[in-house]
Amino acid sequence: MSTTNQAVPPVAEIPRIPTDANQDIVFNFPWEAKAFALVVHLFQAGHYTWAEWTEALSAEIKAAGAEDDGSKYYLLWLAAAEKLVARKALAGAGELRGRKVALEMAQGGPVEPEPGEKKKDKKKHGH
Amino acid sequence: MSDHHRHDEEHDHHHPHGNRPLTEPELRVKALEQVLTEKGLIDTAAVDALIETYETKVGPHNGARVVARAWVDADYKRRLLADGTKAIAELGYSGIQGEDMVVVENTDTVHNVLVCTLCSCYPWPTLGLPPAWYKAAPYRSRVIIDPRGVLKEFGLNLDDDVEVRVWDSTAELRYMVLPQRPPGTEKLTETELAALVTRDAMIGVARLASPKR
Repeated sequence: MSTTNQAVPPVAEIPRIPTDANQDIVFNFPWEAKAFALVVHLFQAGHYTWAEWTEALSAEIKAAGAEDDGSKYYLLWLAAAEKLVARKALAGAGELRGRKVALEMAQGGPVEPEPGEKKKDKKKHGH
Repeated sequence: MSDHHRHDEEHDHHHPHGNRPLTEPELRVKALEQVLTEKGLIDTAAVDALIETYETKVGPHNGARVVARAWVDADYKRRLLADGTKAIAELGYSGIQGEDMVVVENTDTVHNVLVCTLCSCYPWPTLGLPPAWYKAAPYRSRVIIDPRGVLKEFGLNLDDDVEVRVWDSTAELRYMVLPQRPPGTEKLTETELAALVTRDAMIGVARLASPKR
């Protein structure tokens, strides 16, 4: 079932990736692992080089500057991925945004920032 | 039992446990995945295999530490079985989405095993990311009907007098198995004990073997 993939790049070659004491990659949420895997998969399929990816990621990290204490790492990762796939004409930025909004509408509109908050049924979303 | 899973989720309620809307980054990742998949740029199985690779690399360290602590500290074990969420938080791990953790103890007479029949709820803050088989339909449907048979396929043969309890995760409740401490480990330190604990044992599809000497 598994394909003949190029080896996953060594952890040391991924800029600033959060790891534990054993140098193993740590994910705080399942979506982070998915974002990680999508980027590595597209690389393995030859859509970009690893150097191109690390440049894209480093640019995001640099842009976030002092703001980033590591907790936003995979948000930067995701932003870098969205930009790189657009630059490589794999998926347009507008296309991704449109799909995200569609998914959001399908689940009843924009998400409340508080994760604990129960869904309120009559919240107006003017659009 | 094929009615567990619906494929028309766009027109149905989104998720069988769908009272938690996806967060902003979850939506973005899903959008990215969907668009790329529709263009034929992504092989979903390969992506899952990658996650699996990292899941096994990352490993269930957190859960293993919880188990080892319970083995060496009877008070901790009592607290863990009484209120899993709180006792696990004592060690600095928490369910970020606010699910409650229930820890179920394996004994000589009771064997516990976890599943999420509806989708793939999993106590990932303690066990890492779920293995592919846990998310797959065969395991999810069959472990409920024939737990002994499924466990046998995992290489675990339970005596007839051992009661098997299957715990089905929900949006609010996640389970974790407290495996039995293997014999011959009396002299090990807590750290050494934690190294013996496997993910499969905390899901309940394996028993822990005594350390090789």
